[in-house]
Amino acid sequence: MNRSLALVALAVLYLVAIARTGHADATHAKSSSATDVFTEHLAVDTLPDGKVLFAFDFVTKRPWSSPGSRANENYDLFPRTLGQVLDRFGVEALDLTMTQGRWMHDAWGWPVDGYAAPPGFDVRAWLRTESRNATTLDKDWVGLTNALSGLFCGSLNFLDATNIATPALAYKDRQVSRVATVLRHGRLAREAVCTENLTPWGKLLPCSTKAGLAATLNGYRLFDADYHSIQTLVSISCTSKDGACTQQLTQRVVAVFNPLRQSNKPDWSFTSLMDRPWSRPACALAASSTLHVTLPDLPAGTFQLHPADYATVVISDKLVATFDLKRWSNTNDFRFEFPDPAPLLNSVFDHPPPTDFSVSRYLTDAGQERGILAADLINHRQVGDRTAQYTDVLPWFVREYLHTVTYTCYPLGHAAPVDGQVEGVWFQHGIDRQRPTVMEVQVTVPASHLCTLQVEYELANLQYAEFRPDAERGFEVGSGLVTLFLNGTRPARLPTAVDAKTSDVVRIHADIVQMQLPVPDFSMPYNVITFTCTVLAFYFGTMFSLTLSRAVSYRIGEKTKQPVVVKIDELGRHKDE
Amino acid sequence: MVTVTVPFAYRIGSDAQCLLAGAQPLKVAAPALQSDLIAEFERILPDAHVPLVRYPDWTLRIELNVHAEDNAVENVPILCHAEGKERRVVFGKNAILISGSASLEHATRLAHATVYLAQLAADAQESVPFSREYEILASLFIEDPATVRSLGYQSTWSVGPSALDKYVRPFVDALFPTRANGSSSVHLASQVRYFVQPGEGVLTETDRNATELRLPRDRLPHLVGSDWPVAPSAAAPHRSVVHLVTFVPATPMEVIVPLGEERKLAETWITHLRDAFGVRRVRGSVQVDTTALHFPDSGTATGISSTERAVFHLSSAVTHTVETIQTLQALVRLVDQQTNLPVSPTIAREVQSALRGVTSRPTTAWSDMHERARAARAQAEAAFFDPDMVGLMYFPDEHKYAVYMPLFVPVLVTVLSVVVRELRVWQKERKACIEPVQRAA
Repeated sequence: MNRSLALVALAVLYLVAIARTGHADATHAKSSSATDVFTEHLAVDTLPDGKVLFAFDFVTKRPWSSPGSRANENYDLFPRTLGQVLDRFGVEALDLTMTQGRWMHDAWGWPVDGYAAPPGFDVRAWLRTESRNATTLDKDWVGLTNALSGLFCGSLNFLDATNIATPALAYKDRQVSRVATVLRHGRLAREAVCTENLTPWGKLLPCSTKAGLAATLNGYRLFDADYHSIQTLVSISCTSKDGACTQQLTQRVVAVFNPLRQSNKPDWSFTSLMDRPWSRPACALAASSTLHVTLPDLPAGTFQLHPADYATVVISDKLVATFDLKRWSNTNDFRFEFPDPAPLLNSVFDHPPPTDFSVSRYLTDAGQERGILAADLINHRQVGDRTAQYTDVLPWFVREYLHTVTYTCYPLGHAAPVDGQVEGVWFQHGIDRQRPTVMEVQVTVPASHLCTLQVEYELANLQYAEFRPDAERGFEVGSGLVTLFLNGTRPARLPTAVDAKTSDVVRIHADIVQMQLPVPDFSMPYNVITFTCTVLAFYFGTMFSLTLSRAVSYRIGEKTKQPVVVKIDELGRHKDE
Repeated sequence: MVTVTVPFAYRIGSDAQCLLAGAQPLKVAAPALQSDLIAEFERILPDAHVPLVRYPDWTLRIELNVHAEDNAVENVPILCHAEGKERRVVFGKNAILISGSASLEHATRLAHATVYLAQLAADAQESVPFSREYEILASLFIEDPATVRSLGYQSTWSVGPSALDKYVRPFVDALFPTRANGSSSVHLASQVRYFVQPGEGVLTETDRNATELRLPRDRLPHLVGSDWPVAPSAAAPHRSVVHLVTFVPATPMEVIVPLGEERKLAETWITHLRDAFGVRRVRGSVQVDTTALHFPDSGTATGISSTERAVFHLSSAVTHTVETIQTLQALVRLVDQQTNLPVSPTIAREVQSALRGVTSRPTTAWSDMHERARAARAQAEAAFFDPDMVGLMYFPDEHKYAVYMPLFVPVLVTVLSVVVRELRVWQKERKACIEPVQRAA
């Protein structure tokens, strides 16, 4: 064996049979690895404004024992690189989303829970708190963000205590009851998502990006989409109190494409949108590989889905064409045609609003010293109030003042405001350079009202070194979150869901705002050095030469009419003469 | 010449212990045997010194002790007596048979055995680079799961993880005993990855179309591709990873050895792990001078015999001690040379405890000595490679020029020009020897 293969000294190349099916396996110990399950799924939908939504879902499940147990260290389909990080830092659940663009609720309607994500990087980790105090949790959080930033090639290590929040109200429905956990939520609004994030994400899949649906993900087209979000969600669920637990990794890619950009017609094919062939789309390791295409609400004959022989099911009151990709005939034909585009275009330009609740967040009265951060919550329904929670995490240099919070409701169409009904406020004031400001407000928005939540803030002066490169751009303040409680009422439109049960909560991510802080003059150190040195040189040089130079008197000679230097002792004589 | 002292302690076996080994208790007084043994040893090896093979400036000094039957030392070889010409020295549960002609004394035979073992200890095997913790990662890489499935096999393994637990874990626990808090310094994990291709240039076109796969030896190092998931875990980057990789290529394959048995797989792995960690093979018979030593086969569940284990602990402990001292010496030289290095109290504490670990009175149990030497070496390396110590090393000259030149160069230029002028005037006055003009009276 070649010794120089130090740490990889044990590469063993065999022509080997692993385990003959139905043979020696039965005599061995539990074959836990055989129960890892991987499924892949693509959901396609046409949004109300004619754009096409692709949602790729890759779900890997594995049996999971109590934390730290030896059985967790045998990885099969579940990626070892991620699993070891989660085990080491005691992470019960993790949501990591990398998004660019904004889910346009007013144009696209309500997203399936999880399709919409805030722009930039967003990390939510539920850490187990047993046998860990706050200091250990902080250290483990630092280790977790550093490990994740290595795994996903993003600068997640910037999520330190200054921009981590533990919201009290938000995400309560995601709280696990199995074990005590604490939620840590951090956001990087400024991060750009690119291929170097997609590639390591793809390596976590069992088939990697070499086979299956993931092989159709094309970075060039994906990052050109109107909205794209690459998500990694991990959670643990147990059947009963001491029953078997399963750890589930969901990797999701959500993208909204505009077919009109490729050609001037609303017809599209998978290859025209993603620029990758569609033959053999299933991964050999997947237990199931399915495609769901939601058929649009148009008269029959105006649209045609190819391949034309499909089974339909009804999910959430929508007609969905289903395909089993493992039995896909080896053709490259997956496209949507509109022989008569007129009804489609009519519905695009003339359809009822897809949502009955909108959120808008903006700055007003804003300058470089102070301003007002406002969020408009609009309830379009004629009848029925809505309960909403507004969560906002602001960096420490945006100093919000709790006493300036106002909540005013204006009936739509009239101007006379009424005081809105605030059900509760939870406020964590920020400490300079230590922790951010967290404000959570639970309000009621009456029917047909526009309610504005406003809070005044002041901007702090940052130190010279705390500015980012391109300081004039300012700082992006992450999007606020509005959690809407449906209380059993279904919203106006809900696209195809992977599993048919609708959740009772809708999360709307509001807009990011950008704040310009007063920027210092970065050339001052140079100026100081130049100025001081110049002054010193002039002053010192002048004084020095003055003190050391000699005064010389001269008189004009009578005959020669030239100056003649008079020596000092002559001076006295001259006077006497 | 630097010396590492190693204790060789033996104990006269009691009835029960010797009967377990199929022998009888030795009827010799311990102090007498000890003095005879020391004398014999010094006769064979002058000054009881054995030079280390890989560190020519170092020697191993053996301290011999024979304890009486009722002395409560633990984990030391036990001396028993068997019928006929055999004498037995018991290491753990296995016995080394030391035989020779009947006229030889116990002490001579024992001295020969000790010399042989000491020479083994002085010649440590090469092993994987040192690390405080190791991870043994058993990976199964399958190039094309469809090919494997089409031949009727499952594209996964169940024998791998169970082989790790049943066979590799005891082996590793014998080498690196578990720590007081129950954790081990060797972590075991396994993974399966699919669609893994060999590295660039390993398989040529002809290989892919051939009916069997043959790799020339010079292409073997390139088998590991750049995208193979063999990185250490992001969660524990301080662990060095030892990889046991099973690679299944896509080329149609013929089964040579069905490895559906976990025992065969484990045997292969343990063979490689022995090489990796530097466990010397101590088997069969050896003739030392007039004594013949017969070492038992391991045949145990752990894949390593007690003798091999003892020799491994001893030789590793010696190597770690030498490396610790060398690292500390290098650290001292570095600090002396670089006067602007900040050395924090943490580093001082680590250096002191590393020094204590290797210079304290060695215990008689070699596994303890091994543990201490490993801990000391880890601390010495942590002190040497501490990231805080590099702080002030980067102070570029350009900064000094940029700050001080604009301040002082104009001043200096003026001063210099004035000095030069004054010098010239002074010289002229000296030369001209000007007499003051006489005043008119």
